Amino acid sequence: MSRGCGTDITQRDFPDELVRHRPSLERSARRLCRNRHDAEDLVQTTLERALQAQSQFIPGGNLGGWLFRILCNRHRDNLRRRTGIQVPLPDEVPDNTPEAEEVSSVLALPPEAVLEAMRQLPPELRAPLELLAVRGKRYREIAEELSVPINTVGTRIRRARQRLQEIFAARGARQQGGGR
Amino acid sequence: MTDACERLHAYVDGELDPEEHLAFETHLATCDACNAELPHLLALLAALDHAAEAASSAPAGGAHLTLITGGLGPDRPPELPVIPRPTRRRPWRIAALAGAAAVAVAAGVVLYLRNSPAPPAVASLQGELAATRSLDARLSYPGAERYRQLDVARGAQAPEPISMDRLLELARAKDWHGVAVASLLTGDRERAARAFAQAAATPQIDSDRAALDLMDGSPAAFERALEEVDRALVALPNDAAALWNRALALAGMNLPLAAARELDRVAALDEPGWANEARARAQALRASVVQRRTRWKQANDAGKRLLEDGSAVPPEATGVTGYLTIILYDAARAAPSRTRVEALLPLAQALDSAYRSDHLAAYVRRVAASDFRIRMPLAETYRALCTQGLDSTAQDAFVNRLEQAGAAAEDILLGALVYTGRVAAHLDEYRRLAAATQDPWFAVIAEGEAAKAEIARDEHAAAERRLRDALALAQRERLAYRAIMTREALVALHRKTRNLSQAHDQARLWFRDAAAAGEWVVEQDALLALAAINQDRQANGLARAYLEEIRERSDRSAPIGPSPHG
Repeated sequence: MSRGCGTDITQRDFPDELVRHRPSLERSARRLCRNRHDAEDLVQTTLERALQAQSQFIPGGNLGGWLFRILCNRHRDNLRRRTGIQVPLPDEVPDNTPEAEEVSSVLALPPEAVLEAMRQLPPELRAPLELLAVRGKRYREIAEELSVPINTVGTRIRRARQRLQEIFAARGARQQGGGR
Repeated sequence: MTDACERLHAYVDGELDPEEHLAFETHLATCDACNAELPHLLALLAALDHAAEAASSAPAGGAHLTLITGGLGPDRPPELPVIPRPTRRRPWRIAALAGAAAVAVAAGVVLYLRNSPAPPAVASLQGELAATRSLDARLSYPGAERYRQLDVARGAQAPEPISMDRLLELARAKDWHGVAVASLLTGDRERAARAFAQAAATPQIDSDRAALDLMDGSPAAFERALEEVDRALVALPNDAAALWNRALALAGMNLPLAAARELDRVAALDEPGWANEARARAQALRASVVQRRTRWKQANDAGKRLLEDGSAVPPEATGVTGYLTIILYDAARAAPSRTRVEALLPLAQALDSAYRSDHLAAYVRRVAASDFRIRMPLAETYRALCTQGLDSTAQDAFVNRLEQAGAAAEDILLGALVYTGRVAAHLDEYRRLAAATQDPWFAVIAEGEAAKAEIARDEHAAAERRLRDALALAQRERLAYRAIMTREALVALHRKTRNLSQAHDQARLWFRDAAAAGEWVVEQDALLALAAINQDRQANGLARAYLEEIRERSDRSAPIGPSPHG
């Protein structure tokens, strides 16, 4: 790939930004892949794709959200290949769509805001999510600790996360409403 | 949304059994709802991870966690951020020491070293040392820690006048830290290493051990020093000596801005003597970076002007030979007239003298002699290609026109194939054109491209041989820039084949050579690769050091051009 002669500060920052996002991409890839090797490959292809498509990334846009979308698209392509479903076309790199905006706005939240939102959850949703997210417990251990069936743990964790997303979405809407 | 979609959360939590997992992946391959939700969910989990980490690592972390998990039964006991150091037993051997006294001391020390698991009894080197210091590094051992001005003329080899009696006394007291520091100060690094191997694990001893590694000066020793001070700083985050030695390790690794930042932290501690020296050192390190960046920017600006309107490159900007060689080729291809090509001759000769060859001057003369009735419109399009870019239809048309133009524009075709990313698709043609130039610059590029094709076919061993040959050719021809880019290709190959230790070794050389050649932007690429490779090989301390430098550079860097192609 040729690199042009023009001057563009955002192009120079781009690789640095990729490195900054790498750890969270790696963690996400490990959530999606059953082994470390596949996870590493997924991150690698995501970063390669992002670098190739660097010019499509709009300067000042939301790189985190964009990268998460590329990662998920790559993963879906891998699954399609593995399950024998024909991949129609190599995935186009997602634009800086409003959805990418939403994805990255969560990533940009300061830890305090996330902790505060967790405190707003009703206790029956907060407890299983905290045991999972903060203490790294498995569903089975959480079920034992809270004396509830394991299926209930799964349901409550899902609801807790959905509630957090609602809280963050409302917060984003408020901030936008406040207008700059 | 279907029932299956509800399993998305259990899927990312790794809670599905193998059968369910497989079934869900089949669903995920085609479910639009899940695919739309997945990035949001992963981002939320990343934010939760981040929050959980922040809560557990902040000094008030316990309080945070208790607040969150209050009422959930006993919390995890707070973990102190101290990494216990495995006791190291470095193999020692009896050195051939000159002089009877030295032999006697060494024998005594060795005897004590062998029988000595006892804890250190702290003595002092107070009164044993000269008025100035000979080492850059800072020491924590009592008596050696106070500020003495650095006497550069004395050099690191000039030993401190520590008496043999004091050394024996320290050894008898089994004060291995004292023996190590005294040995280090008297220039006996081997005995210092043996004594350190016996000394207890404390932050101060780790910091002083780093001083020993800093004296070694090899890349591996700087990395060891970094590891040692990092360990010390986990326990004592504001330890001035460890911060100082960390700065020296970073500077030794060619990370001047990260080093300067550590020195700022030392300066902020306001210790008499040390603070001023820290400020002066930080300033010098930053100045060296500004100087290199300015030099690159001058070359970059001059290169762009040359390409746009043929302005001559001022002699002070010709130091960055690799970048300007690329610019020279581009300027000759883009020149619309014979006069403009001939005006490139002084630059070609200046670069040739750096390469000790005459390829560039010969090339300029050859182009000047070609038929400009055919060449001029092609040159105009080439200039548009490399200054503004062309859309892909225009690129196709341009490559076709160049292929039809034949010999009068072969050099332009060579450049256009690279700029349009068509080398892989025209590999044989590219190699033929490159060979016809008889210019080793293009021979190295062609080999690199052939290696890329081999890598794409998973012929890794063949690709590695080819790249190593290309590297040797570039080095033989003094084409530093081409050698650097070949190292970059080798790094990519080693990373692909997961040979991370070789990738690391090559990337270090890539970084070193890019800095030495003044190729500022290529140097940033190498830094980025070093950070990523060290993350991959779980060398977290090194990865952090490279990231610190990247961060500092991106904070301070003025907008200067991206990497030149190729």
